Amino acid sequence: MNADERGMGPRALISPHFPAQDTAVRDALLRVDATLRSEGIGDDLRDRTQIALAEACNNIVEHASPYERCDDPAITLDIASDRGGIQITLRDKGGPMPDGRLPAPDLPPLDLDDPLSLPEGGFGWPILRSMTRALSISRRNGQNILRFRLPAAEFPGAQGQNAL
Amino acid sequence: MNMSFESRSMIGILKVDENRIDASVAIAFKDRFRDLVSGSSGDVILDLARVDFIDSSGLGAIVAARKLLGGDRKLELAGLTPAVDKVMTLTRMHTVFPIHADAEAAAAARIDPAQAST
Repeated sequence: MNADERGMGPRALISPHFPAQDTAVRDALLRVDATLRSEGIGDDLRDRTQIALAEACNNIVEHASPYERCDDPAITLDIASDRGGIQITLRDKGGPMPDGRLPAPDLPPLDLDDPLSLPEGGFGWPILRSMTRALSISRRNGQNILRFRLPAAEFPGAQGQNAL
Repeated sequence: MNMSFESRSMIGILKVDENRIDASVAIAFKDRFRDLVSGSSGDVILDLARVDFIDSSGLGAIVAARKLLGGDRKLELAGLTPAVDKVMTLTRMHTVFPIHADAEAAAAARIDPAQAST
């Protein structure tokens, strides 16, 4: 790490706050993508950010139903960038994660010989877990806080900025 | 949900004229797919060239669409953009659905299997 990198902490880019609802999530993701594009972030990192953010937000939407008695079904995002990639924090006031832990990273089983038995769900957390780094969840003052990173290069060390 | 269906000999090409298949349109996608393929027979090629984003709900809708075809018809995918390809690979769905570079390559593969792509 050289002196330049040491001096460069994460830079906040955009912090949208929006209802935990499908179409509001779509609009927020498009705004985040436009911001990242205007910052000169490349297509691959932007794609990975969209995919990971969608899964994280959809999970909150699914658990923000009125039955959960959530009085503020909204999501707050904080998107920041540094030389290593994108840092993301999501906050919501929905119900806590069962056991307070991250769901398993395993994909649902696929039986290629029986297409009619293929799973239609269960992909969200495996996608999120395989695509992100430093994924963590915590709960404070009735608020869920989910954090993760998208590395600038998909395979850090193999090529690009993280190689050194 | 803008989707269209073109019937060719033995196959149908179902084109999605939307940028995203996500949680907000997953149910509409499945309903529209059902309407478009009913009354036809043969395998279906899903042309995703216009789609630049899909999430796990959209993926689930494509799996549901495949099941609607039943055991005798197949669903094949064509024209995957980079983000869609990434989701298909991460979830191993690329091992479930035959994937073609584009709809024309998929149709050509039916005439001459030697041209089957990727």
